[in-house]
Amino acid sequence: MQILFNFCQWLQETNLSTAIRESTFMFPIIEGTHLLGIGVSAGTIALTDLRLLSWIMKKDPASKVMGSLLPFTLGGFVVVFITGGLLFLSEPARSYINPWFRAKLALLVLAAVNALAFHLTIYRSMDKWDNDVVAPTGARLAGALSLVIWATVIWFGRQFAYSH
Amino acid sequence: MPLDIFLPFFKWCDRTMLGEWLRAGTWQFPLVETIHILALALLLANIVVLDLRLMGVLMRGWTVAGLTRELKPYLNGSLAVILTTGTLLYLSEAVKAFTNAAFWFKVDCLFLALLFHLTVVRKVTKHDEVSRATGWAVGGISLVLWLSIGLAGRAIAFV
Repeated sequence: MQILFNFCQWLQETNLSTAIRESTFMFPIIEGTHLLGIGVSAGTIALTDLRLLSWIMKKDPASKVMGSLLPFTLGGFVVVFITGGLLFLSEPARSYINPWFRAKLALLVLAAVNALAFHLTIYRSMDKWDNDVVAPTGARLAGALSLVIWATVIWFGRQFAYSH
Repeated sequence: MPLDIFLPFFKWCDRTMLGEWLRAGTWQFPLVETIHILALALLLANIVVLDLRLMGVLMRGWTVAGLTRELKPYLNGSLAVILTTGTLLYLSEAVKAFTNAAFWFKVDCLFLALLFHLTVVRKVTKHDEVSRATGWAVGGISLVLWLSIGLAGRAIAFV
């Protein structure tokens, strides 16, 4: 998509983009914060998934575990999306043409679809299985998929940084 | 420099088979580092969740001791993976790390964090409830130490 690439090139020439790219401290600090945000968001998503898989907090209702962990995940998301956006902004054209980056974005969409599908289906009947030690197949599948997708997102993000 | 007494040890680490293996190709280091970051995600989540419970901010549906018990296998498991992969990464560039200020800062913080975790945190989290002051002090110190380790780790690649 030529128009998107042109847009990325335009972004790259903005003052903010140049400032982040050329500063000694900004890029490492943003990247470090991105890493901590990953820890909190992806890590608490993993804990939520582990409850769906009945590996953790089995005695507690699934809704209680999910509801309690959600503020962490959302807080982590705010950090990770802002810092991720800034990292992208510092090198948009390079990111745009990078296959790891594209695959990472595709997986983020997939993660959202998986979460949405879970919320629109199995989650609605949660009161029926909330206290079950073993969640229904659909819930376990959503949890397992989420674990795999988010781990791959992290992997691709790391590969992206290596593939200069 | 007083740290110079460690230099022969760092040089030896650099020459170990594992260190050599990590440098032998292009995929070894990224692979180990990716596992390191996956473990970081799980470990950091466990730490942040426990620390904020200690502070009484979130997760109040569990007692301090109860939450600690539930998360223990995952906290210890991710800690084991992150220490193992971290050691491997260190072996691959031990001599380079020796002159890296961020590396030493990270090692110092890690030492303090582990010490704090095995003594103070372990003791405090045996109780179902903790006082507000204790919770904030212990949770706060733990949080600062572990987050510093993460930031310092990232900084190693930049200094």
